[in-house]
Amino acid sequence: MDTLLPFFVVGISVGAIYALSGVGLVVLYRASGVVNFAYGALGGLAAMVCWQIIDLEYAEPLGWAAGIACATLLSWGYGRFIAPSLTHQDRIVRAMATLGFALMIMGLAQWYWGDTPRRLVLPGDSGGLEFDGRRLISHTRVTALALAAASTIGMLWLLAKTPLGLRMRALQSNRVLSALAGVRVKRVDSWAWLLAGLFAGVSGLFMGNMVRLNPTVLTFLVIPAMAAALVGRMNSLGWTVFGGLLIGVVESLANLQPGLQRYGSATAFVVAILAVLWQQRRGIGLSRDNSHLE
Amino acid sequence: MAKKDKPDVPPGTPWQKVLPLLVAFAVVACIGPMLFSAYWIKTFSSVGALILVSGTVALLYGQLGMVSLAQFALSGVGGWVTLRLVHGFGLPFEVCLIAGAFVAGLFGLLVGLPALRMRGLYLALITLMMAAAFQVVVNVIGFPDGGTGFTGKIVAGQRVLIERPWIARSDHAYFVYVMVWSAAGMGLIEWLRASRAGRAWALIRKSEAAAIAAGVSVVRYKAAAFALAGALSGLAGGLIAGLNGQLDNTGFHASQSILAYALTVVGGAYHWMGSVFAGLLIRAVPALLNDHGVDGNLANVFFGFALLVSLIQGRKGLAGALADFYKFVRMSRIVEGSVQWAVVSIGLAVASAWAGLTSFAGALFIVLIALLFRMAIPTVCWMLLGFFGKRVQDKVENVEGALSLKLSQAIESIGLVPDHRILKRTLNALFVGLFVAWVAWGVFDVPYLVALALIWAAIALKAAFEWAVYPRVLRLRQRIDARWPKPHAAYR
Amino acid sequence: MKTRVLAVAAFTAAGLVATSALAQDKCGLGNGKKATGEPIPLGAVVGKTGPEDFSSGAAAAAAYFKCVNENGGIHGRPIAYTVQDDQWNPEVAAQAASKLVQDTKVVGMVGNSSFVECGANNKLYETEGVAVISSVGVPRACFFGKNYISFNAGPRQSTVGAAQYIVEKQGVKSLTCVAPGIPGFGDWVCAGVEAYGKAANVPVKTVIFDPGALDGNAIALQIAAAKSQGVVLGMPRGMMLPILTAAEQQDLGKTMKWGLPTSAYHADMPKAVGKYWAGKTIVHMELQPMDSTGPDNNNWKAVMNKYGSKTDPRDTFSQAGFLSAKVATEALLSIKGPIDRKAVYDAFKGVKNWRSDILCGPWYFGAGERHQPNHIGRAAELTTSGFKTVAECYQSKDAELADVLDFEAKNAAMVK
Repeated sequence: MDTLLPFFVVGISVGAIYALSGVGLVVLYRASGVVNFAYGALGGLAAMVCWQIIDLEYAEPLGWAAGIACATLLSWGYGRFIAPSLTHQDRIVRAMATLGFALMIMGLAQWYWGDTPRRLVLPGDSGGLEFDGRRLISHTRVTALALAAASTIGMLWLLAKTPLGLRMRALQSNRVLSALAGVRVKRVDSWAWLLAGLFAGVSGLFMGNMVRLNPTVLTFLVIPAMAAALVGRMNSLGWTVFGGLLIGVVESLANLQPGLQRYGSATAFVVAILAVLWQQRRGIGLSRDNSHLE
Repeated sequence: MAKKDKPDVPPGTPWQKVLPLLVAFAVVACIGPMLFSAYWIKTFSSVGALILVSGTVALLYGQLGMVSLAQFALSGVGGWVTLRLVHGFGLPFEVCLIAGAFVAGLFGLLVGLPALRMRGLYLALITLMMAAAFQVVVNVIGFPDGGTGFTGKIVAGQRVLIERPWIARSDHAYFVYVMVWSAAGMGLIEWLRASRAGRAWALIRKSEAAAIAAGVSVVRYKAAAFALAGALSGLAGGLIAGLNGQLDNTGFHASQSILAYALTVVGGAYHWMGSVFAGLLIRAVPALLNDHGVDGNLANVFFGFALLVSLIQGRKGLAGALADFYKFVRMSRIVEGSVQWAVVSIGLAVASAWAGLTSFAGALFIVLIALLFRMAIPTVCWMLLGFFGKRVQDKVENVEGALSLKLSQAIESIGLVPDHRILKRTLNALFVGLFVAWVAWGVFDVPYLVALALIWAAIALKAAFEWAVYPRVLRLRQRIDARWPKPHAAYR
Repeated sequence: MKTRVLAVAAFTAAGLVATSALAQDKCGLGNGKKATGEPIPLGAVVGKTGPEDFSSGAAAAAAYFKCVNENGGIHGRPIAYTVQDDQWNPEVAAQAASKLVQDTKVVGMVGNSSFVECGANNKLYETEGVAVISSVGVPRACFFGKNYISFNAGPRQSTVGAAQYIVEKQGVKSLTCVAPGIPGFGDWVCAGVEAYGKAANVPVKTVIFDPGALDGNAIALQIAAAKSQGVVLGMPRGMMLPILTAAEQQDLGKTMKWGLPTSAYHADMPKAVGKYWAGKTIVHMELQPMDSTGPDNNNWKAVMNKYGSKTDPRDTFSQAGFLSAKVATEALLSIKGPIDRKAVYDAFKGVKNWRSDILCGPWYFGAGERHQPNHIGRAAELTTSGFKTVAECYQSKDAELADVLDFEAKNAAMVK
């Protein structure tokens, strides 16, 4: 147990960030039907902007705010100006368009900042909770866990109890009927994209700190986030969080087994494929009311 | 009954569709070794293999409607098997190539299994997961380089490259070799597209229920498509392995599979020319940029933008746009345009090379790009305006129309006969000149004023040509149009 | 405006200028006359765009050649130096080498530094008779090529050197070797550490990771699971940072001694890794410390200041690039007849017993099947602001060097 605990703790904290990213992806997908491939790229950009501001010797909170604001703004901009031209196309095309957006952001970030090794330092890095004389978990990771929990609860509350959430659920259920019923589709969509950008920015900062501060690497961290979302069937926030945590923990525990160590990073994909195969054992299609896949 | 009352039906038999493809590949295979330098021969060999990979993506997406983001990973599988067999058993290269294709085909079936019961988006995500998983696995076991055991990986020793097939040892010979295999693969795809299998796939894309009702075995045809796509991708992977003698983990990241799909869409997934464009975009454009020291990441930005634009426009891609162009423009204009382009560009290139200002190839390239941009820029501007909504587009059009009218009236008052599009054309010429000259200066080190002069001279010459030659060739044009009528073309 | 490499590089350059006692910026013939004859084409293939920028060697060589061209050239002929980027991709490396060797028809290659080009191009260099004096060789193939030689000891020697120090001088009794899974690199480097461990009776565990999906966490966890007393990281500097960050978060510096190879010897390393690692980390140096004041080192600093660009890194690879250009220039100047590929090949290969204050021992090319003349280095400890040398020139105890040492023993003319 003693050997397992640090691995479990690290795994949970990374898994929390996967869960956070997954939640952002799922919220956007539910409201607008778009799988956002640009999620990781936005997070990467947020992390790089944050690093740049801190490197220029401005206050750290300014850096965080600027990074998150960048991601939020770009995401909202895409949702407001570009996504509407694609609404009449099918889901794949809309998802692939976000891929184009991701390539643009990643290319620009990689071109501007290059491959120089960097480190995104968050204040919680240097302290932590001790256990038995050893550092168990740094403050950064505790914050990540707390944020993941808080934002999931926040989103659940938003969707269940607020008018905006109600409209989002209406859009998911049936866009055309919702528009007829008076839901302002573009506005609700914009809110969904804005929230997704917010989530992307925050998870990007944590990923940049915990994994690696490099635009390309951070862009492709959208894949494990999607794996978490797939566990949640692109619909259920609770299962998405579970998926993210599961992926994080299994990835971490794989490091204990010599034969599995190098395959650790494939955990997300294996989990996703298994989850989908399990879910589609009865065949997959749109639900009767077209609200979700089942 | 008019003798030339042919209906507007595209050529029907598979052979009619495959022949142009084979001819084009044969021409390139013959001319290539004479034209290309050592750097470009290697690059275009790689392009040839990538055309095949793009062809498989296009087959799955264009014909069957399924997005597969794992095709390049499958070529990794094929390349791996080819390398292992050549190292381990010393079999002839072709045998190993086919074996690699076969194994990749089996993996392709595996990739396609989820497709049997899944909607398009889920399939795309699952194939992406598979490509990412392949990336991890290949990083652990590596590509064979002469070692023993299952993985064939040398540890801490001398790595071995494989030999090329004895008929294609030199770079030039291998280029032709790759072209032959690529033509065969692409030809097979085109053949199937034009035959019963292609029609079955198209019906499945349209509606699975309809396909079942029509008696098409959906499972069998989907499986066959994925297996074929996997096999041909594996073949391409083996060809790349032969080109370099080795394969590298870094070349098979999930991002490569994603780019393969994205650029297939940009090139055009509904025609084989689209795969050719895709191959060029994936390999030749980065090679061109690298050769001039431009950061490859800017290529990614451009690709992302091109993908966005292609999808918004209707996802037919470059090839589709060209096909539309061919369909909607009169034959005589196409002939006239081509002749004028050729004369102007070659003439200016010769003049520029003789005057020592630039090389022949450089001037030719710049002039052709300028003439191309002259046509493309207005469309691109129109599309960019479209981002801001139809109202903005209409407003801009109104303003431009009003100004154009004023300008035309001013010219008429002097006594000349203006073209009603004169404002558009002048602005276009100005912009194209300044912009393309800047690109030529930045990327290809051509002096700015020289490039600018070349471009404006090209545009002016072309306009002069049109104006001078038009009355003289009117009858010839009418004869051409009568011989090759285009029902959908506008006869302005 | 691109903020390319850190402003620290510029500050370092200024600092190095201040510390150089004798600033010499003459090269080659040193006569101050601009060379105007027919250019001599030389080339280099470097891994610039990719996980890390390995072009500082070629940048230094370019600066040196500019200096040579301003000082009489090669008997009046300037050097036309072309550097191609291989983007860390063997396919692109093969294309780049084809372009330089077959299209541009270079007479020799100087200043190369790449992770992939040795494996991809050694055969081409052999068939075309091109000799390569690279600045820094990286994977195994660079040290086992007939026509390929470099100025560094190589990551394997350097990592073993670091391991040697922490075992012999810091009493470490078990080691973990961490390296990226790049073919011909990671497994080769850790095989060296394992061989050394076997000879020194120190058990060695190996952790190989995917460089493209570098997860500092996972690796730090694996290091923690291995529970050794010492850790050596055989990898480029950029890959070290995430691992050190994650290890700091798990407080592994407290329980383990850390050894880094020469890639960590860079002016901005102390700032990049933070105060935590000061005093806990040993860095092996293949060449002389950058702030030393020997004549060649001063020449390097002066040439970089006058002919290099402000963003060129002044690191140990840059020193190696300077050395490669200096040797190449001297070899070219020694050619009596026409300067064609064969003459340059013979001249390059004929270099023997070449000494410099930057190197710990003699350097030579020779006609062998493989070349690794630099196998003696130093060690330094990381401090909060820089490095403190803790061990002077010592031989690397890698078993793979047996044939090289044997060759040197039998061919005294090469080294004396």
